[in-house]
Amino acid sequence: MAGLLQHLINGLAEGTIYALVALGYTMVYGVLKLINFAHGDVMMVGAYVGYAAAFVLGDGALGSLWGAVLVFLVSILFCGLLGWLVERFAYRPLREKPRLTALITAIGISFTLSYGFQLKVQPEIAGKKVTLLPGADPRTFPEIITPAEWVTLHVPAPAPAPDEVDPAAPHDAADDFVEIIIWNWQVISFVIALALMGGLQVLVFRTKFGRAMRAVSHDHRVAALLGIPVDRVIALTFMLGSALAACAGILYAIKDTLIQPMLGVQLGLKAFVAAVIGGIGNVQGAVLGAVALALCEELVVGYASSSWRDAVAFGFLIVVLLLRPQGLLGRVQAEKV
Amino acid sequence: MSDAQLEVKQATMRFGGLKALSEFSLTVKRGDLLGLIGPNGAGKTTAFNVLTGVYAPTTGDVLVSGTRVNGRRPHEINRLGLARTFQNIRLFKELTALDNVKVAVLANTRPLFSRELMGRLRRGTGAQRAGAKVLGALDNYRDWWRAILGTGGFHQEEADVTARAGQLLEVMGLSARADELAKNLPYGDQRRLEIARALGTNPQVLLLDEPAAGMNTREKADLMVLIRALRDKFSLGILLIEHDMKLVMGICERITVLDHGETIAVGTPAEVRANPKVIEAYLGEAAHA
Ligand SMILES: Nc1ncnc2c1ncn2[C@@H]1O[C@H](COP(=O)(O)OP(=O)(O)OP(=O)(O)O)[C@@H](O)[C@H]1O
Ligand SMILES: [Mg+2]
Repeated sequence: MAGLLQHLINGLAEGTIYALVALGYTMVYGVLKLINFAHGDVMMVGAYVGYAAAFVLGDGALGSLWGAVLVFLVSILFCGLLGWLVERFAYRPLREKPRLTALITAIGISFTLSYGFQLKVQPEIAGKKVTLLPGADPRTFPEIITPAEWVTLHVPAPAPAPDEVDPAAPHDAADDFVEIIIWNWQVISFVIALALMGGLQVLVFRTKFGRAMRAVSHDHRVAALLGIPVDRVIALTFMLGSALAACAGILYAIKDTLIQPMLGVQLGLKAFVAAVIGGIGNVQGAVLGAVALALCEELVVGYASSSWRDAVAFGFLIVVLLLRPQGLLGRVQAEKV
Repeated sequence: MSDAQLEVKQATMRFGGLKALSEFSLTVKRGDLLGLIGPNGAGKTTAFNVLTGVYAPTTGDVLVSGTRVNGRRPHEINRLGLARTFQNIRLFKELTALDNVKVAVLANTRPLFSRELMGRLRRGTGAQRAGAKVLGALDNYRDWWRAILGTGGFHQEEADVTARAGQLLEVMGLSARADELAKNLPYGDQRRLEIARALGTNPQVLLLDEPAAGMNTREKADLMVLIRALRDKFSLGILLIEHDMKLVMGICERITVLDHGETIAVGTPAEVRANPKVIEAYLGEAAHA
């Protein structure tokens, strides 16, 4: 019981981070029918930019609200710009080309970012060593939220097996309960992720932009002829997705404390799987797929072995695709012949 | 400036070696109901594609509301007041009839700054065009936070848009179908929905590409009456492509006839009908068929 509760908490925390990244995959796929393989790496960049921002702000800012807000904002702006650049200069020129061209470009950008960040570039500028690229070694993310226990739950412990009980020992009441700690940063992270997803939901389903985005997703040529600025809609979609990825990157760094350049490849792949499980192109599906995948992984790690984690993730993908090829919430697309 | 809403001067469109449209000229004024006819492959749809910015003409000029639009992007041309339907129906199949129209209406609601102001800036100098972009962006993002906060203004605007889309469905006789998915509508309704959607962008000139294709005789006749009513109700200029000569002759005031991209005749229905070149083009087609 205690174990299960702990796993559910961990799974939800992980799932919301997957979801933020998965949303970027699904939105870009929605408007361009492109798997943006560089998306996970944008998340990694987001984590590093957050790291750099916290570093520049210095110890004085750590743990303060405005410091944390600044770290998020800087990272969001930087990644938004990065997303815009990638779309504008890598994908837009290829939009009318065969889809494979853009896909390979996406893989190229992913490699450029994940391997580029493994270089260590530290030129001296005005007598100070300035790190432009961080190098391959993992770095410890500063504590932008000072960890504190939010609540401590006392959950009844499973009764010990009779042969383990020493009848002579006095009964210790503390053994009857297991402590489950929910940390403040877990709660904050969860709330931020939920708020972002809620905001996105409103944008996509209520605003002019959202309706334009869905029109572009159905048929961008017709959308243009109805007065919808297709280029701008696509650029904004990339920027939004990248901003969410930036947040995901920082939340991940807060949770895991270590960041390294291959981070985006690993987490990005999981998020992509989550988007496919949910039905790629479907916004709610991405969230559902992400949470389902994370819970599934967490339970496997908890009750079987952590080495099964990835196998189960992909096994889950295969099972879903066999049973529902369009994903959990995806639409069936009639194949045009 | 003339009162021409749409003016085409000597537009030519080449695809490699093929001249799909050759020195095509045409003027559409408010209240005009003009026909564009010609046998299969004559270049009618190509003419629409050139006018709406799907293709930039190889040579020649297209002016919408007095603005030269060659090479402008389709959404800009649409916002200058030119809307169209498609010969092969291209609705948003997975959206409801109402949402199909709302997409068009929404894309063109500009509550913060008047269309006139934005249009003037967009036609202006570099600095003015940049200004137009900033104002346009402001408008969009205003929409975002208003939606997230769910302000009264936002709900009001949404209600206005829904009402406007509903009116257009009613005009096209589709009120009862508002909540059905476009793909589930009968063929004739899909064609009329395309017109409703085009009207949603609030055009001055409407281009209809074979809007009656696939309808039975009765439906076709009704549609022609409806098209004339639209012209009067919205004081539109309408350019109508139709394969069926008799149908066009019935409602159009002037007709342009294309054959192999060349304009072979322009005139009133009576003049066109009597034109030997036209007769030959259509007889030729009949002989091939
Ligand atoms: N994008 C294109 N690339 C190459 N050729 C094209 C293209 N679009 C049209 N054409 C050619 O231009 C010619 C005119 O085609 P268009 O579709 O304009 O004819 P149409 O008058 O609309 O015919 P229909 O009555 O069959 O609709 C045809 O020979 C067509 O094959
Ligand atoms: Mg045609």
